[in-house]
Order: sequence, then C-alpha cells, then structure tokens
Amino acid sequence: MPVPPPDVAKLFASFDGSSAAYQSLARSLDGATSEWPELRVAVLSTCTTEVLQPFLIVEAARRGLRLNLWFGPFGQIEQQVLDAQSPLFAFKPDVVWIFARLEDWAERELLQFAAINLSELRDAIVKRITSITAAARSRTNASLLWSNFATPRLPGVVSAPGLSDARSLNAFCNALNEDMGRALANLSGAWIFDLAHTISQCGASRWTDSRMTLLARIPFSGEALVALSRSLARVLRALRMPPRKCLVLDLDNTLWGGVVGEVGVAGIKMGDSFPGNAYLALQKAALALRNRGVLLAIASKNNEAEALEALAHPDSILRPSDFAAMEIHWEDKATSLRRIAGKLNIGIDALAFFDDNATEREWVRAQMPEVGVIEVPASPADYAAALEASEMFDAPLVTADDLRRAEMYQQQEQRRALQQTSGSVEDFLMSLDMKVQVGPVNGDTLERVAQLIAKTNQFNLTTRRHTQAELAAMIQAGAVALWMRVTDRFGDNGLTGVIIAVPEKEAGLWRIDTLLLSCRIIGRNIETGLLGLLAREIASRGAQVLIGEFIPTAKNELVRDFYPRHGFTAESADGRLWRRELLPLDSFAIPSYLHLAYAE
Amino acid sequence: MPNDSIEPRLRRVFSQVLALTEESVNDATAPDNTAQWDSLAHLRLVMAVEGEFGITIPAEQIMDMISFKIARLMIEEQSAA
Repeated sequence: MPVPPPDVAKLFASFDGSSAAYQSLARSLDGATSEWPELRVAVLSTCTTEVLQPFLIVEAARRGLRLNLWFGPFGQIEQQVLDAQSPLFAFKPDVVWIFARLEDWAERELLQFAAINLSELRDAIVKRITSITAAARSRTNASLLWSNFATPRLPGVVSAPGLSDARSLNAFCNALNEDMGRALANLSGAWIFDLAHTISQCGASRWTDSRMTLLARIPFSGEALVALSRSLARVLRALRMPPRKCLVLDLDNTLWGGVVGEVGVAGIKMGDSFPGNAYLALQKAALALRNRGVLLAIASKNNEAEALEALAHPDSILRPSDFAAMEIHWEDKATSLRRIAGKLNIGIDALAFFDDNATEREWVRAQMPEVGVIEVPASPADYAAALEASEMFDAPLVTADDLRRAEMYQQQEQRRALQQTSGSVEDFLMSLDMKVQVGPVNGDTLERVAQLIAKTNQFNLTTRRHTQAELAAMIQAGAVALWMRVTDRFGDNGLTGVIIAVPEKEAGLWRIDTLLLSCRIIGRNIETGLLGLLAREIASRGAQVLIGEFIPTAKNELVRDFYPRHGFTAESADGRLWRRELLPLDSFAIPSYLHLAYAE
Repeated sequence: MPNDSIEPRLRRVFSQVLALTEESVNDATAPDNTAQWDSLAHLRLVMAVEGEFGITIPAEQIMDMISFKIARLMIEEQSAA
C-alpha cells in the first residue's frame, strides 16, 4: 500500500477498526484528503448498499484513493443506464460498480431450480449483463466493474446440500461466472470484481446477517462490510494506480534462516522442513512475481561471495540469474535502493522493500518515503502471506511484455556493455540496428497502450492517464494515435512508445495530447523519428500547424526541453504550449539509424 | 460487565456514528432531536453497538432502539443475562 501523508497516517494510527470508528474516520478523512484527486465511484445494485459508504471511504484512503461515492436507488440498474439524463450519468462517474444478486434477479426461477433449463437461465442473465454494459458504455467512458455471482443461500432449493453434481447451485454459479467472464472480455473497460472469492475468503455463513437482510435489504453482516470494502478498494487501486515494478529483498533471515556470514552456507535454514520451508515459501512467491513481470533485486549487508554461494545452494529456489540487480555489501540500504532504481532505470517509487529487520525498514522509510516498505511479520511462517497482503504488485492485466520483462532487462545489460565499447553515440546507435515499427492504435493494441499510458512517468510530456475506453473514444472522435515498438540486435523491446494528436477546432491546427516512451528505450532519439512519422500522418489529413504541450510533474524533468529541441517555438510564456509549422515535412528529419516501418 | 463502564463506551459509539460530541450525548438523545439519526444511521448505530459490546440485538428489537437510554438498557439487560 502507498505510504499515506503524515496527517492521514496519524488518523489511521488511532483507528481501532470498530464499526463506529469507521464512521468517524470516514468523516475526518474527508478534510485530511481534500487535496487528493477524487475517484468518482457510482454504485448500482439490486439491494441496499449505502451502508458501505464509510467503510469504502476508509479502505480506499488507506490505499491512497479519495472516493466520491454515489449510490443509485436499489433495483434500478437498467433505469439508470438506459437514460442518458439519469442521475448516474449526471454524477460523471470514473467507475461504475454493478452489484446484482441472483436472489434479486432470478429468485422465482431458482425456487424451481430442479425443474428449469439451467443453460437458458444462464444465457438470459448473461444477456441482461451485456445489454446493461453496452448501454452504459454508449453513455460513459467510466470503467464498468461487475461483481460476479456468489451462490445464493436459498434454503430448500438444493436436494442434497454438500453433494456437487451438474445440478448443484454452486456448479450453476460457477458456470454463470465463466459465461459472464467470456461475455465481458470483449467489452472495453469492463472488469469483474470477484465477489464470490471475497465471500468465500470471509466465510459465506458469516457474510450475511438475516436481520439486516430482512429489515433493510442489506445483504451484509458487519464483518462483511469491512471485508467487502477492503476487497473492492484493493481492486479500485489496482485499476487506477500503477503497481510497483521491483521487489527488493534482503537475504539473511528473509530468503533463508540464519546469518550466512556467521553460520556458513551449511548452517543456513533453507529446505523442506520448518523453518527452512517458510523461507522457501517466500522465495516461491517472489519467483511467481518475477514470472509475471516484476523485477527482483537484492539489498543485503553481507559478503558478496558468501551470499552468492548461498543462492547457488541446491535447495534455493531463487538463483542469482533471477535478480535484475544486486547490492550486496556493507553500505546503507537507502544507498543500495537508489542504485537499484538507477540501474534498472525506474523511479524510487517503483520499488517495494522486504526486509525482516525493523531498523532497516525504518531507515528506508525515513530516507525514502516513496519506497513501498512492506511490514514483515515476526515469524517466517507468515512472510509469503505478508508479501501478498502488501498489495504492492496488484495489476489488472498481465501482458505478453510483462512476461518477457526480466529477459528484456538482461538484454539491456548487454546493450550497456556494447555502449562502453563503441565510440560516438551515433556509432553506438547505428550499431544497435534498430527497427522501429509504428502503427495505429486499435483493438489489438489498445490494452497495452492504455497500460503504458497508466505507468509511464519520466518520458511523458503530459502524463494524461487515458483509460482504454477514453482512448477508444478519442480515436473515434478523430484523434491520430500511434503505438511504436522497437527491435534491435539484442531483441524486442516490445511496445514502448505512444503518440496521440487531436485536431483542434481551428482548421489545420493539431495538438499533441500525449507523447511518451518507456524508460528502457530513452536516449536513442527514437522520439524524433516518432514525431516525424506523426507529422507525416497528420499532414495527410490536412494538418498545417502542430501544437506541443508540456505539463511538468515531479517526474518528467527529462522532457522539459523536448519541444524547443525539436524546432517548436514558445506559444505560452509558462513553457507549456509550443508551436511548429508542419511544412515543409522534410524538416521533420528521421535519424538515419532508425529503420522505420509503418504497420497498417 | 459493570453498568458504570457501559455508558462512556456507548456515548463514544453514539458520538462516532452520529457525528456528535461525546458531551452532547445523553439519555434523551433520540431520532427526534438528532437530525443525523435517519434510518440508515439507525442501522449503523445498531451494528456499531453490537460490535462494541459483543451482543446481538434480536430482530424484533432493532427498530425499538430509539434513544440512547433504550440502547443503554438493552445492553445492560443482555450483559446481565
């Protein structure tokens, strides 16, 4: 979880987690987080959900989100999405959470569960979902977050509770959830909140309180209100905020038991029996993260040779080659973390730090508040669970590029080695044999482009975080959006650049809304080539003048002079707007060492 | 649970849920004289009271808890049982 600012942290420090405390903390947070950008979440449901409000506010704030919530009247999902003038759309939501219960949508059918055609019922429900989604999508760019279905608790319906066969209510719900997932996968900006999983984690028998259901149509117990809010806030955070990119691990008493410098490789605890297997559980969790694109690094106070020997131990699951960076020496850990971020060319705020030593954690927290410091429990038995509970690496999608990231960083190392042996920068860039492929953003690339937009901070001229749905709408409205991918002699860097230009009202005037490159290809003048291609593309659509925009942030100092360097003249005194005539097009030179190709 | 410890804890719960100062909560605090005490706040209050004192108010009595004093008596009764 992100580190909250001090005043908010103070409010949480005195929070006891009781139901009453949620109510009062939610009110206090309203003032304490007033500077945060708000996330507008609309709730549409078949039952009463307003009671969730303070719980959601608190659990979201804990994760760095300020929620502005709107609750639709219960049982009016269609009424809200079918009417363009409805209060739902007037609210201008960023996210619409849709929560329909089977008990509310299909009670009559479920009461004759043994007699009905189950696949017809599933089809009817999925059709209802897709038509609600389509109606909402035609009127808003908000993310549409559907809860999936939990098995309803309907006494008497199941012939042999506990026996799972094709006609069990559970099997029906599982099949329905699968159908729903398939149907929503094709709809842009639609997501599924795994409510069924949240309920099973909490325990279905503890989830509802029949008194609240019967008196007020509230299908939640007090415990469920907290569990649901945590789970939903976690999903909202994953949808809206970038994950950490690198897990930095300590070694002694973290990846194995004992201090290798004292007990030697033979004496450390790492293996099949406790506590060695607890340390290996953490290693497995770290390996799983690596396999879905998170970089691993080491920051350890140790003798390097001994530490590497321990990692080469046959029982060790992680190997030296699994780590993208290693800082093993006796310098302080804040220095190590800075070097790791520098070496991997990522921000300090992309690091998460896992160290059993509370003093080290405190030191890093004090020196570098941007680092995600994971609270490590006292017993190694709880380490792996603590890594998961940290929520540091939650991301809604794993793309093909994520899967190859660790490998790409190895290629990066080889490129750096080559740079040291080449003469001029031009010679080096020539020797890379770069092939730059550029193409229009469309269905195939929308997801990856949106992901890049969400997480690129340094080479990003405007840092506008367009969602998939917003991008699709911009392109629909006439914007030219290009993606770029770069291959060189060391391998494929993947989709690593985006430029988007939009036509302005004044004829012939176009504005660059978004221009960004992934940090791993910075310093190769690829941006110059990308700008050149964009210029040619929009010139063919009648553009004559191009306006560039630079919006400074804490991270994008790197590109402050991008427009003046590319022949733009100041259009506003604050350095935000820049202007350049498009013609002659040849003045947008494309460096000779870039082999550009345009993909249709 | 001694009755004299119930009152300050209950006052705290009421003040947190209804956004009142603890001093302003007394036996007479009720929906009639407390604007924030609407039907939703009522359920929040019931859940918060149950959580604080580890009790379960029977469904039939939930809507009867219509003043601080009644809430206090309900808790005292359950604690004595």
